[in-house]
Amino acid sequence: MTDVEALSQLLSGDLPREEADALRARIQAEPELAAIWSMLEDLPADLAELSSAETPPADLDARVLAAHTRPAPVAARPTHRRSPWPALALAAGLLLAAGTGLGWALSVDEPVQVTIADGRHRITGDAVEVLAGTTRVEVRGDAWVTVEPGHDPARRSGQEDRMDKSHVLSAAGGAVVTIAVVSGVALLWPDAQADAPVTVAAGETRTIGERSAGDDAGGEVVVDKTPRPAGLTPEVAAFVDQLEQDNARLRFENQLMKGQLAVGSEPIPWPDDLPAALRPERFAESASQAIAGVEGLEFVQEDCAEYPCLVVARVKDGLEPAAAQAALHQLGERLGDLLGGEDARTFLSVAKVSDDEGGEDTLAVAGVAPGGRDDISDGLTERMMQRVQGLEQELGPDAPPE
Amino acid sequence: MPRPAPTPPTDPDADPLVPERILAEHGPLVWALCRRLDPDPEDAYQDVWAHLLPRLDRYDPDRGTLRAWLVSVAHRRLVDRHRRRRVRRVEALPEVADPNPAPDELASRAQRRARLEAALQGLPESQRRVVVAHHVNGRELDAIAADEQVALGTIKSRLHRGRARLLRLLGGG
Repeated sequence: MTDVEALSQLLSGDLPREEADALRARIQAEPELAAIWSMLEDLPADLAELSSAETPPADLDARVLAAHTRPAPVAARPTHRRSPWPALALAAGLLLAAGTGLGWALSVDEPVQVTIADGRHRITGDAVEVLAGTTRVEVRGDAWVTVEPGHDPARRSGQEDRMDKSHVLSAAGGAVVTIAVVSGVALLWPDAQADAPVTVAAGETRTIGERSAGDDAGGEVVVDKTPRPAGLTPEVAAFVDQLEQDNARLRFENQLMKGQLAVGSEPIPWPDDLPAALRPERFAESASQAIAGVEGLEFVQEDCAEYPCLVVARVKDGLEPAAAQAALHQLGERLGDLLGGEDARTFLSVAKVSDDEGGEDTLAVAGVAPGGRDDISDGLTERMMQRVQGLEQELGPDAPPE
Repeated sequence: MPRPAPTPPTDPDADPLVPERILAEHGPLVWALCRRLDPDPEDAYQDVWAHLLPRLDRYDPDRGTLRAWLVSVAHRRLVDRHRRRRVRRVEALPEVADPNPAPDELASRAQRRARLEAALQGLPESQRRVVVAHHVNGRELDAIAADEQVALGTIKSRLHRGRARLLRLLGGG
């Protein structure tokens, strides 16, 4: 226990009498301790002066009330998978491909129908039938369904903004509906007369509505059409169209990188030319050696269940944040060195793990793969993101015992 | 296709427990809690109210004020969220003001509060929850222990460590 913690106990009357008397004597004798005691005595009053009430952001109460007046959401039932690292109470967000943008999920295990109105909704389940205006969508997996009013030139594509917390909403009519499938598939009936559904696969978006006529090609990124000034030559108009298309695609890829969209993916095959140090049979040794050379880190465990192998390291207690960041950076570099000079894509995920006693550990999950940093075309980034996101479900407090 | 049953209209003036009135009166209190104790305060705020509003009929005036009940339920909900989240991304500690501010800065109450707010954000969540609930919201430690489902001694330990760390972040200790 530190002196300051002892002083805090004294302040609360938690110290035994003898210890309290001794500490009071020290306060009298030691000016530095007296100064700390004075600050500590002021602390409760200072904290009490902090405002216990602040105005929430505009519209937040309206959103709360709107959600409250809707029917109750379908009971969520979390899914579990076995943990590859059962010993670690760990979940993490990739720094490179952070997965924290997914705010909530409506998760169901039984067939259910929901009707939604304006807003952006994430639907997860094996057979969730969503009615939005005249559009019917059956989600078998995980998808964002965005419903926007028709005839609104300012509406957006539905891939960027944070979703509000609305769950199941009242009916909408005349809406423009965008479906972005995260994993699995969505079957889409554009209207009641549709004989057969359109299948939207993972990673695809599809928009149904007035605007979508003619540009509803499968798998394309939805593009916002901004008003064009009059008098554009066809060449300039085509150029602007191309820029918008490129911009939309980049936004989509950016969302993937930020974890706001996750594409369902399969394990990446092990490359034939992977250096031996990064192969499962050697990785534990390589990684522990790499970590041993970094002050402030200690090796915890490796995971080579699939490509690439990952290593878990613990940041030693007491390391200042700047030093910890430097150590993690060094870890990334050392893992990159295992590629023997090839361009490296280093994945680094850092998490703070709390225990029930109030303590915290800082753990890092790191991996390395050949390739350029900006190369996201092979699905490795998405796969890494999924692996880390999966941990959050697997290792949460509701996870089944191993 | 089953349609949701419409919610009957409510008169905010007729019943003190209607959501509109509750939100208007106590929303700022809950918001301050969410902002200090959850990394995603807007989501937490909506989550807390989505949990609270359907349970308003459980409030028993004989057992305390509505404000105290709301703080208690909100705090428990935020604890639940913390447990579900379990882990937060590491983020750089917020910059705490210069530990050796000029005398005129010390004289500024607003700046002092700002420094204290920043220092609070530098506490581990478990310690911050106790410090905020106890010192800012005036909750008793045994009530906090009940919310957190840990022993009173654990809560006291978090409080003392939290105070000590606050002082360090403020340039003392």
